[in-house]
Amino acid sequence: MTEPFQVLTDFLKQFDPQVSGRSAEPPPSEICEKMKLFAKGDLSREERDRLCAALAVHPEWVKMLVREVKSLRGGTDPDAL
Amino acid sequence: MITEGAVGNDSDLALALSCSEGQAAACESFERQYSDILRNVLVGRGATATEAEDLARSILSDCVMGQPGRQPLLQLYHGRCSLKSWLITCATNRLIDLKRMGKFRGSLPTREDEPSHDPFDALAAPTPRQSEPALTQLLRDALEDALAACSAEDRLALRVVYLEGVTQREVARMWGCHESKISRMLEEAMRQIAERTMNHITEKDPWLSLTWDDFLEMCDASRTSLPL
Repeated sequence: MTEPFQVLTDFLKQFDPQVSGRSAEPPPSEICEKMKLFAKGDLSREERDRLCAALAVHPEWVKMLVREVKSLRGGTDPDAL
Repeated sequence: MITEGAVGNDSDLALALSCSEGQAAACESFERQYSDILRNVLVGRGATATEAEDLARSILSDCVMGQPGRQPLLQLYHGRCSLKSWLITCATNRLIDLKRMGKFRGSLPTREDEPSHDPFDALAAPTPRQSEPALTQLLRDALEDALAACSAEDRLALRVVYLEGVTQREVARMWGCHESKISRMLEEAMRQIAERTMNHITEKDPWLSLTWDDFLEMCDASRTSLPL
């Protein structure tokens, strides 16, 4: 059975006009640094709230956060992925 | 007609194909399999026995015969979900149309100060969303409202865990808490999404009786082309 959240997201995806055309503008360097700290668990509650709010506005940046998190699994350099 | 994602629904797809080609035995089998199911589901979702009977008959007929000048509806079934889910979703959509039409008949706005005024002029102009099937529109509005009410933190956690393959242990590290807290957080976020979604539906169409599982099933089926 597919995860309910996956089903909901797939359903809404069909209405997103930006699916194929969303610009991949990189986040500012300050946000990149915060994401690295967040991935490691080194961000304060207040900074985390601010970053979550920024990611809600720019969901395309979440992929980068995910890359940071996954890079810590085996010590991979995320820039090499 | 066979498309990506049709795996697992091969027999449904074969039946749909045979029916849309007009094979009598397949059409009989199709009607035998689905007429009771559709009637029962429609009554369960708020149709009267007569409404359920009429809707089930018209859907099954349109599936194999098509309406004048239109292809049989089964030609639109691509096997991305089960035929049962697809038919139930179509039937629910028609039920919503029927019920709303009944409500509309009884509540056309009036303006007594302008005797010559055409009451239809007082109706809101159609919006682009009104080109969506009523059911799709209802599911979408309910879900978008529910997600908008979620905190940014909850939405991020749901996304990274369920869509991006980040483990709950990793999320626990990011949030600086125990894994069990993340598990509860995700569970509670989904519970709230379900609750808000169902509340929206009840507010919009109080007669419509749906469970959260029904909602999920229709979201899944609505990703495929619905015959309308």
